Amino acid sequence: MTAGPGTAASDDASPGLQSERTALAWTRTALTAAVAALVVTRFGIVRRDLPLTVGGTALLLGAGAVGLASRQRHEAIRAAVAERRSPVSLTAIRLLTALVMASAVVAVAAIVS
Amino acid sequence: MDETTPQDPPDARSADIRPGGPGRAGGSGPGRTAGVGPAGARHWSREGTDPDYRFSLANERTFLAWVRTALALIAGAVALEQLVPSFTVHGVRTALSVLLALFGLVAAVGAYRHWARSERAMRLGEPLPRSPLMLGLTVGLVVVAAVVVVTLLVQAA
Repeated sequence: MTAGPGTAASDDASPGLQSERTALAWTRTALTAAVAALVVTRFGIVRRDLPLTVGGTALLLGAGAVGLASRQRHEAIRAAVAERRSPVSLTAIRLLTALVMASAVVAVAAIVS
Repeated sequence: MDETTPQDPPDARSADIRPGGPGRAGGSGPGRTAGVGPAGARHWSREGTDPDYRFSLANERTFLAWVRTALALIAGAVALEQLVPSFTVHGVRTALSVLLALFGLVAAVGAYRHWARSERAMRLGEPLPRSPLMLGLTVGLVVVAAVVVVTLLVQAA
């Protein structure tokens, strides 16, 4: 995985495609979140449970936000590396943690309802 | 080579990356005296010096991998309740589903804690923390599998 010329890496300040690998990890996470949200939404529809359907849809929107965040992380990491700043985003990590915790709570509510 | 980096990076670029970014670390240069003080003055993300950005990003990707594990546990919990026919032993399926979803919750919280502690350790040049997540999740999943096996045996008898 060398950063050859003429690839996307040539205008990326980091070797090893760091920003791209991290953005792809965010994308994978968004896809997994979408699957979890769809399972919950389906549960709500099958059981004709409106709160559960709404909760699942909200989680689906959250998964979409994670997908958008992966693009944003890509740009933010590239900018941070170019400016020799730390690429850490406490906000992104905390929001994602909150989304997963909310998913778990909705899932427990779905199961015991 | 900056002392705060936990291992040698694959190339020598780190020399022009750090240490001591543009005043961000609050002037605590190589001699990081503020070290292990009580969490009052500064948030941990401002303590010490910025580590090699590649280590921070690797830490972020590890966090994301744990998050995916948590999401898979949650999706599995709901799918179990929804798609698997009920065991003859009453309530076992629901109990296992709730247990899996709670594992997902614990994994998400643990992922955040481990990420934050690792980031802080790298900033202060301390050894990376051990995570109880691996053992906890392994034991938890073994218990779930054992319950499934016992339930199926009881059902067959």
